[in-house]
Amino acid sequence: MTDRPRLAILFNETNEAPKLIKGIRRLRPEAEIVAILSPRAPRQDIENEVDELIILELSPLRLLFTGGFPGLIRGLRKENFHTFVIRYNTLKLKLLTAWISPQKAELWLSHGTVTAIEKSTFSVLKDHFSRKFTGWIRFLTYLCRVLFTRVK
Amino acid sequence: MRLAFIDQVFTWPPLGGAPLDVYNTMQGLQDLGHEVHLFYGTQKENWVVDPVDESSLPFSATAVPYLQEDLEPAIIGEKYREAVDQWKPDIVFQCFGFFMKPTLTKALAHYPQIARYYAYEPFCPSNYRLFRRDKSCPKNYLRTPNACRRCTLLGMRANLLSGHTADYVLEYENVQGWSQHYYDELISSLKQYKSIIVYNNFTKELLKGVTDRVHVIGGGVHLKDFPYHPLGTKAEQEKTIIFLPGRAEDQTKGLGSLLKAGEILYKKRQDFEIWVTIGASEITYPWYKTLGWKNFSEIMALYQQSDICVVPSIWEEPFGLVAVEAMATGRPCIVADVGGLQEIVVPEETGYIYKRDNEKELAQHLETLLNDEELRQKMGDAGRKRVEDNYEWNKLIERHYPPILEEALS
Repeated sequence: MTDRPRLAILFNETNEAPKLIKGIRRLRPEAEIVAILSPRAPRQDIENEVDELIILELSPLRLLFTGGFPGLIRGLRKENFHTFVIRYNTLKLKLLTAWISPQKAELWLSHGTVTAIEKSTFSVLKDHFSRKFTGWIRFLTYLCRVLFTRVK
Repeated sequence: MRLAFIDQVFTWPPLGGAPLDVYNTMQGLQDLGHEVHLFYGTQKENWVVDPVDESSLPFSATAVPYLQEDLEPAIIGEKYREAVDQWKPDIVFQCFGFFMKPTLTKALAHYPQIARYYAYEPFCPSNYRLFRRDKSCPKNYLRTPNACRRCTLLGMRANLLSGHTADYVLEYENVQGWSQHYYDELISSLKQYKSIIVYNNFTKELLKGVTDRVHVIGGGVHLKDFPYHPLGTKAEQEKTIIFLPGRAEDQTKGLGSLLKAGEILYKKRQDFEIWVTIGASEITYPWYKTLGWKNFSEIMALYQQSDICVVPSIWEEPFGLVAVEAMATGRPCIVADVGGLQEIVVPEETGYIYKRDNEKELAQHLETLLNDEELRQKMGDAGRKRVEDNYEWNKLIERHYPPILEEALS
């Protein structure tokens, strides 16, 4: 263990993993990077790039059948991560992050922005659905403009 | 002359062909005695794009920094105008940019401007690639704006609904890319340019009726960067290397076609390997080798180790620099009949052109080249000669740019 803040990346998918690790190294040079991978994920692009690799069952279906979900949460909580990074804006990943309760949680989206994730279950749900709601309103507004006005 | 180049998405080291094109064009014009200066957009908080390494650029450059919340036409226009006005150029080149390009053209309207299009930015607001549902799209926003607006918005649906918009989608929202106003501004910017430079005749055709000041200028290479490395004779058990360079993970690059052709070939023979510059994937074949993303010098070495180069793109590849690089090294190229690629390769002379997505035809051409070492050498040599004559950067710049610059100032 070092004094560097431990930053975990949950790789539920490993595409473009080296690019993400490179971006994290650039923006968080002080962090000790821990990659969390499923046992079936290809590792060769990742293992040499990170400081630590943790292999865990991440498939929701398998976790459900084996009853491994509470164990996964407990295990990740014990790791005491300073920052927990997820890559996809899904409710299940954001809830998982809130339950692990790291000091900081962030969503690193593929277009390059980094967004903080709420810390409690309720605030995650509230933030997720309010973003969805405003997203729908914007989309429907633009759609009306596209459908009911013509460009000449 | 003082020539300012504006590139809103410049990267260095380069990610893709567009920044390389800007770099080489600027360097070539500098060698001709012009003063050149690059103005590029930069977002420090963006993790995807590394900061531009200005120290390795042979010309001066100014970063125009902005945050996501600055991505408003008025703010971006003002930032670039301020930076460019300080340098006082004679001509402004508008290089890579998306929905903000017409805004910047308007903001810099007090200079004569020349635009370079690298993909299909004005013709396809959906993804600037004219690529939809795994195929090339026959539409053109300049002619079919209403259909293209629907396609664009539906394509952005998931991003808008996520509540996390950035960059491309955010630009679209902020310039109101669906509006009559944006369409008019785009058309007016195209008419305002003194010249528009495109990579291939397909793109020139798309601009027909809007402006006739269009020049087709392909990209090129510096021959010293891609030294001729003639194909040697293969040892008895040595595999023949078929190489797909470039961003093969991109769906438009047609890796699927090459893998299907590989499957067909492997049933008949096992004397080849397909090497691809792509990260590790779950696809495994005994003849398929993933190399990961390679830097410039590693790529050069790979061209030299390879025997045949394949560019199986399924979109209208604007140029296809990798084919020129492979030909410069002395490798025969098999390319799909798309965009600029079909203008680079001379069929039966420097390689073969096959119908896009037709893996059987691709496999046939591969087999012809696998069977005939002498033919590979002959085509490789002819490819090198073609690059020396037509795609050497300095020659390209000397041949095409002086009249374009004069025309811009007239």
